[in-house]
Amino acid sequence: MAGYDLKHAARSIFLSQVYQSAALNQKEIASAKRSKQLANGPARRRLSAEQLIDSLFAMSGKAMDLEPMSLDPEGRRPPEQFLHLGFPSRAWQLASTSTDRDRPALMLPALQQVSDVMMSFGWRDSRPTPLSVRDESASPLQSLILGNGLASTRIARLSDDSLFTELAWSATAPRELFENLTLTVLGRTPTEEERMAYEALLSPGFSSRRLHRRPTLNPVASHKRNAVSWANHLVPEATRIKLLLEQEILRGDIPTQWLESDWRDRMEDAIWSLMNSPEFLFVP
Amino acid sequence: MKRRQYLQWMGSAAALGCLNTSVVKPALCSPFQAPKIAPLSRVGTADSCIFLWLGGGACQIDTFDPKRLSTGRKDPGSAYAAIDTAIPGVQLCQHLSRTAKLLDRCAVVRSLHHNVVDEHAAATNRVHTGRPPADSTVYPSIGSIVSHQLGANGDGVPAYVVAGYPSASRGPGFLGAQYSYVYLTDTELGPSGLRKPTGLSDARNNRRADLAARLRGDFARRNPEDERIRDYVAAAEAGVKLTSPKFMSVFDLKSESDTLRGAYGGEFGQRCLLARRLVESGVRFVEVSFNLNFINGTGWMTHNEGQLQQHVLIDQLDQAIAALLLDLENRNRLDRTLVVVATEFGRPPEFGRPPEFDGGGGRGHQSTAFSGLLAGGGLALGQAIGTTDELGRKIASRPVSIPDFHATIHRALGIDPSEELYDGDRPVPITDRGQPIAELFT
Repeated sequence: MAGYDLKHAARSIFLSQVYQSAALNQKEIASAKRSKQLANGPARRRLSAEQLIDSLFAMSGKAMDLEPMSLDPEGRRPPEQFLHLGFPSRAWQLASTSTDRDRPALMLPALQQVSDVMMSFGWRDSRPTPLSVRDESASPLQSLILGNGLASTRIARLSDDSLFTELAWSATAPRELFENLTLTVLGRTPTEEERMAYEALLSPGFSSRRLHRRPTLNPVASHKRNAVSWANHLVPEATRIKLLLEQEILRGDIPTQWLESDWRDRMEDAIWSLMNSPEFLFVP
Repeated sequence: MKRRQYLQWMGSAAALGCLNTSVVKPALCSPFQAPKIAPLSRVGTADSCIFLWLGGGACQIDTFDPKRLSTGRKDPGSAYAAIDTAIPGVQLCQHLSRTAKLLDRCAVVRSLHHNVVDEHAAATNRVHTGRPPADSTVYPSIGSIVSHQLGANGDGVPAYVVAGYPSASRGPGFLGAQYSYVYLTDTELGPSGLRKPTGLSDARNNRRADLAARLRGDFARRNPEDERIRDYVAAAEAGVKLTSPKFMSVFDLKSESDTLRGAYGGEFGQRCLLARRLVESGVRFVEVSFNLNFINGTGWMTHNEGQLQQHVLIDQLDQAIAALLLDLENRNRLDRTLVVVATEFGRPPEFGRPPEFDGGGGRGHQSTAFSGLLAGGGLALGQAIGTTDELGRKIASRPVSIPDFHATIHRALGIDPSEELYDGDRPVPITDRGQPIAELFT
């Protein structure tokens, strides 16, 4: 298609009055006049389970790095010929981790941590037919499962493969760092009160946080493949391997050595709190 | 429904005036409507349920429905001798000796059956949901239905907890994520989602909680009119309550005496002790899974080598059931707690068949007749329900379907098993025409 300029089209949309008008909630839309209900502004919505997961990984720059979805049934095939649903790199590619056998040797702890979050946000691991309407009700477990699980172990963890590590390293002042962080996670600039609270958190030790020369972002080697298969999962060694893997997953990604650990902890807590704000979930 | 049946129903419905939907709800005359439950003199007094799951398919004739003792691998029959119990004339396998003494607090159900036999996951799903899977809907598990019907029995506790791995069969189906479970795979670790992240100091947890509470509060204040945001914030604050020391202390089994912990036995027993603590805290439904494959390799799936070590499993089960029943009784909670032992199917009396799986002497699958156990819950206990033939292959009398079994559990908890839930606009009765076992409510 000659002369087609995607950026021009996008710019026209983004600058339009409709796109720029304030978001409405369902109640406001329902009570608006009929003519206004049609295009009165974007309706605020909660991220779907898949959008949430993909946003978290995209924001942190980390690869999903989960186990292959299902076991090699016989443990004899070379990896490229495995019969499984592949290594998921996007949330929609996930399927149930359940074998309905409750055996520790069959668990997929890295996958489970992601699918736990997705299930609590309305994704179903069992889907005979696609659902067009999701259950979007709020539950007390949603923020807990996200916050105590995936957000802690991986997304907020300043490991060598995290974009937040890069952000933390290259900042010149706490103020600038927090502004960039808020823009990255919440897509807006911070309020004055937020600035004060988070600068107080990130200022101590800021100037001495760098331990070495500038780091390079390293993809972390995956360890989610192991020797356990369907054929051998009943031997005690298989259970032992999986229990160790589970512990590793619960400890989370290995923190970077480029940043001083006390400051790094505070920075992680700042990231964690922003991504666990309900603001992260509701768009626009 | 066949077209002819539908036309007949339309005819009779029209004759009864049911098609005037503005006057009479069509559901009142629907042929899909579950039959009303016959009035029963006794109402269950249970306010909570502990559902012990023997994943893999526990062999009925080696546990709750013993038959002629086998003399060797070529001779079909029970692998263990039978012993007398506290119910006159009712025997159990010798490795259930502790439970045998307490059997007057139980009802043995020996005539469970369904028609799923080849696949563990499918049978597990059947026994958890009470229905065959459908193309267009995902049915909820019994735990989720109880959670939906009754909610939690206290403030700041979840309604439904699973001690085992997450699975779709245990899930909420069309009821939605809020009726799902909290799960844990290790009694020491505590429940997933509720336990604090590994390796995080209290100081850091507090710092995170403070920062998060502030952001949450600001966001809620900026959006006072949006109901979904209000709901989410309220739910998040309820979540904070769930992680309060009050509920998390339930998972601290070390606060129990060594004697009691010892009485419950190994990991499965500890899970049962935890289940007791959970129902005391207000949890309605606790499913405890017993298929820890490190005990005998295969859990209750006693193909081949699994069969040789099956008595170890049975012994642990026996110890845990007996300790749980006595503990509940001592704490004056047995009448209010329905204890259920269930499994996906049973096993045939032969050894070594089919040869491709069981050439080593294990047992195959059998869903034509298998056993379950009910205890406590204020039921009329001390009886065996249903009988099987000489070797426990087929039901001889008083069949109990999975919907009947579920209806019994619901009834004991005060839930009407014929009540309709809604999958969108579609009414789905709680059980598929299940009738509570009347003998337990007389």
